[in-house]
Amino acid sequence: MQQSATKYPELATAAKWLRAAWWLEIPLLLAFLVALWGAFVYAPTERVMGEVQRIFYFHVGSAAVAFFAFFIVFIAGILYLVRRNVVWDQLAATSVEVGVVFTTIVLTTGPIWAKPVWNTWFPWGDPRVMTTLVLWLIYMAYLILRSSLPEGDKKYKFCAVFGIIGFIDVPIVWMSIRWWRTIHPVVITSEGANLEPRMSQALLMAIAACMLSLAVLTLLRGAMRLNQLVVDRMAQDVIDSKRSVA
Amino acid sequence: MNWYLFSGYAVFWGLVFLYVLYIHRKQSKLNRDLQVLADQLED
Repeated sequence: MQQSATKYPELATAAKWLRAAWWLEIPLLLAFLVALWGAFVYAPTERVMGEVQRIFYFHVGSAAVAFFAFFIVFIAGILYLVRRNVVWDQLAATSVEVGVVFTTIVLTTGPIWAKPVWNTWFPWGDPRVMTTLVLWLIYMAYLILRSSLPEGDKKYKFCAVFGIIGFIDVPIVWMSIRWWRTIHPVVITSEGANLEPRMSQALLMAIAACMLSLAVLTLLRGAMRLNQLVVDRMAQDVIDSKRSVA
Repeated sequence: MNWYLFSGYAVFWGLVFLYVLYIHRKQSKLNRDLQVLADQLED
């Protein structure tokens, strides 16, 4: 195994990621309990919307994490193009997977909240909703294309460029409620959050819990991807060595 | 307390933890595969 560790440097990176994920799992459990307490006990009930407004903490927390995941894709894509290290490509692919999961949560919690408040499940034409849907479609396309391409530098380069260009939609989603007329309220401004202080604090707790889950999921899934990559390469090397002996 | 919403949150986080457990199990299998392949390469 010692020889393999030097021949396949990805193994050491995967081991580091696994160790880091292990250390973050207990904080994640605690953060999740604190976030639940924050959203359901600590935060006051909104006067107009009532209890359903509590979905806000989860909805916005997931959106923040999805944006951050796609930012990682952007940075990892650039780093792959500069350094040609497969670790960056695997990090980008993992972040896309986690980002898509959180964007799906945003797109499902949104309608659950929209129906009682706006009297529609899905406000077609709303710039924030439409740009978020486009963001989800962009990264779903990334995953579909990725799974259909053969392994190799060409695939990694293509995915890096796709991830970098796809990120353009993230600032558009963020600015959509400022640039165009929309029914989404502007909650976070340059002066801070337009919220009751306890609501802001509950939101921060939810964002922290979602960020920790992003970190744990990315590290675990990334390590698994790297190990799988090494297993595939090793299996090929075993076949090659047996062929050369024969 | 809105129990529907609360159970929605709880189910989501439950799924996250189940996924983490699944990855740990899959990781153990990968480690076994790695060990077998490394032994074959060193022989």
